[in-house]
Amino acid sequence: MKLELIIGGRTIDAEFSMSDGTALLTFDGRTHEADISEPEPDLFVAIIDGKVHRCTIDKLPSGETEAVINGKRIPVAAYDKKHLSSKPGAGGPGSGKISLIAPMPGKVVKVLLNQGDEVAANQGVIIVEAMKMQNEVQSPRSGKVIEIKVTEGQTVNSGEVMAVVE
Amino acid sequence: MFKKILIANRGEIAVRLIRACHDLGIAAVAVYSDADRKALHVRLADEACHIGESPAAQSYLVGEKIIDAAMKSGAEGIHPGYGFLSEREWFARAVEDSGLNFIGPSSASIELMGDKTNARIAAEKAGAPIVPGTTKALTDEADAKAVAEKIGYPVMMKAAAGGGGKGMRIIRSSDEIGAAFSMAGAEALSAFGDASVYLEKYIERPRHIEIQIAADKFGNVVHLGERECSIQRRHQKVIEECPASFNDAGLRARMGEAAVRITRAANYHSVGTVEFLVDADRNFYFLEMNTRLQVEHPVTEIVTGVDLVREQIRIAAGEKLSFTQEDIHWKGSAIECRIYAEDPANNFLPSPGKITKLRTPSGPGVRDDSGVYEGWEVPIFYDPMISKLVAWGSTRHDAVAKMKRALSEYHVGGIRTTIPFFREVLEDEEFVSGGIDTGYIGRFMERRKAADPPPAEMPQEMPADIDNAGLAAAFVTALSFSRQNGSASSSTESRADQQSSKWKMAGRLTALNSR
Repeated sequence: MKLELIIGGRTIDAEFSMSDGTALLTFDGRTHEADISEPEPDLFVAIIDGKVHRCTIDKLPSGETEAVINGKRIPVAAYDKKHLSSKPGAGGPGSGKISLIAPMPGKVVKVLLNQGDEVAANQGVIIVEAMKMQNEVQSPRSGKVIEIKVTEGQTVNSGEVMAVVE
Repeated sequence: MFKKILIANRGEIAVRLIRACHDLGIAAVAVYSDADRKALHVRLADEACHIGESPAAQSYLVGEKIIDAAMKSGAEGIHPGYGFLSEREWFARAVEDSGLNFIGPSSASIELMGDKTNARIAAEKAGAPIVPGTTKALTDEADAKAVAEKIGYPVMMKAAAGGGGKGMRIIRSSDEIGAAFSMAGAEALSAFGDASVYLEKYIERPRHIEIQIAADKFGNVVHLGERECSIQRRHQKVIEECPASFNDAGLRARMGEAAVRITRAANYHSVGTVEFLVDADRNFYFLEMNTRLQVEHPVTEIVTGVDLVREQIRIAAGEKLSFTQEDIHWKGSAIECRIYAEDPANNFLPSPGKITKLRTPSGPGVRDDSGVYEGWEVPIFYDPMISKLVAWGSTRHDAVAKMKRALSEYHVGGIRTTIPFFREVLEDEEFVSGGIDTGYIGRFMERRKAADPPPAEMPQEMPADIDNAGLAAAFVTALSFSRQNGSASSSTESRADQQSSKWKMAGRLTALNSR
């Protein structure tokens, strides 16, 4: 299987296969071998060159995924080379619509701007509170608030779209 | 001894208190809010009483509901834990008035030591050193100069009405007094509507050291030595140690004696903590008294062998202290890390949510005082601390090594925690050297920022020398992905319950900018 892997912010094109507990991963012209077992559900033990790695794949409510290797967290992602169109677009700040997302589950304590308001880059739009801490969600660039999807007092989930800026 | 006690708290401390009750053969009554119906402390209790909606103001902070629950259940005493109502003098009084036993000091002691000015006066009367200065407002520049000369430079100018750093100025010589007086005054006026400022001695690179005391209702007062609590973030302790890393028996004895005198002056019974600042020359100054059990009590328990909660319950029941000062010895070194549901990679943003996986450390010298379990959803309403991990070793070096090992065994899935942050701190040279003070975390964060450039500046291509952890991450990522997408694997089944749509771009979403 041909994959694009993003490991700790680095992108690699790799080919992966697994047979009877032996996994092969080829990238940059080299093939690596690992003995991988799953002694407990979702706990992998990967033995690479005799070294033991206790590994877990942790999916967070925000939608991010991390590999936890001997306690060290590494952000990861994987895409099928055949279906790369499913990869989220790279269009960050700069153009088009931007969704302002709840960074954590919590309660909306204040909506600072109204629909139709102009917003400057890094200006606060909504304040979310959780665990006695308030966090201001800001617009990453200037534009116009075209939609506010939440009201004060409402609870939101992590990753929920709270407002849209164009 | 009591037969039944109500625990007026939640989370890890409620679990700790319930365990102490069970050790003493006492039945424990839990209280819980809507969000905590399935909480660990409810599961471990003998009886449980629902006291209201999730926000603490409608449940854990409503004194009448808690006293009512205690009366209904037939409990003889109420243990407030820490936080919530533990230092509210009115609550202690209400418990006393209802004929129940408040497992803590008397309401009169809480009232006396809860007021900073009164506490300072009481400490001074008891002959304990306080930070030199005056809380009297300065009249003019000349007055400020005269007071500063008397205290000795450097001095700190503070707003009489406020806190939070507003109106605060460090003054190192008399030339700076004039400008500081007018600027600090103006700042205080705009922040608090009151330009009054006062002066106190500025302590350079202070350590925050506290003394644990235990006092019964018969006038016996014993100190159990110090805890080093200098590792603080946003004025909140994150790592505590016993003994302090400077490990000075003479200083411990002097501070201990001062703490005992202050405790006597407050006519205090129960366990409690006297906080001091210690300067680079090992002079110490009284800061305040915490009239309750402290979060960090386990480090003292491990090093002295005294169960502080058990002793606290015994004192409340009218028993004498089970030890004298001569019985208290300090063996080895203990360190505690507070595990918070916060994201250390993202400015310690709260990270409540469901714990999808939990593997806790064990083995020699490891204690995990936890309030959670696998499958528990950490609520958004309360303090983010989910557990306290404590390690003990024969020396500080050994304790640090055990803590590092324990942290590497600790896995909390589904939410982010401060575990990776502690792993970094315990590798940090300045921390390992023990030369720490309250400015440590600030300096550490600067070093960390300098060593770890933001994601945009990181190379996008995998370097030739991918490290072992990275390679293992690549393997399990590929394996996990191929399973969900049903190919490449002949020996493992694909899983229908995991959707490939869950695989989203890792890294920071640009729209997630937050403070």
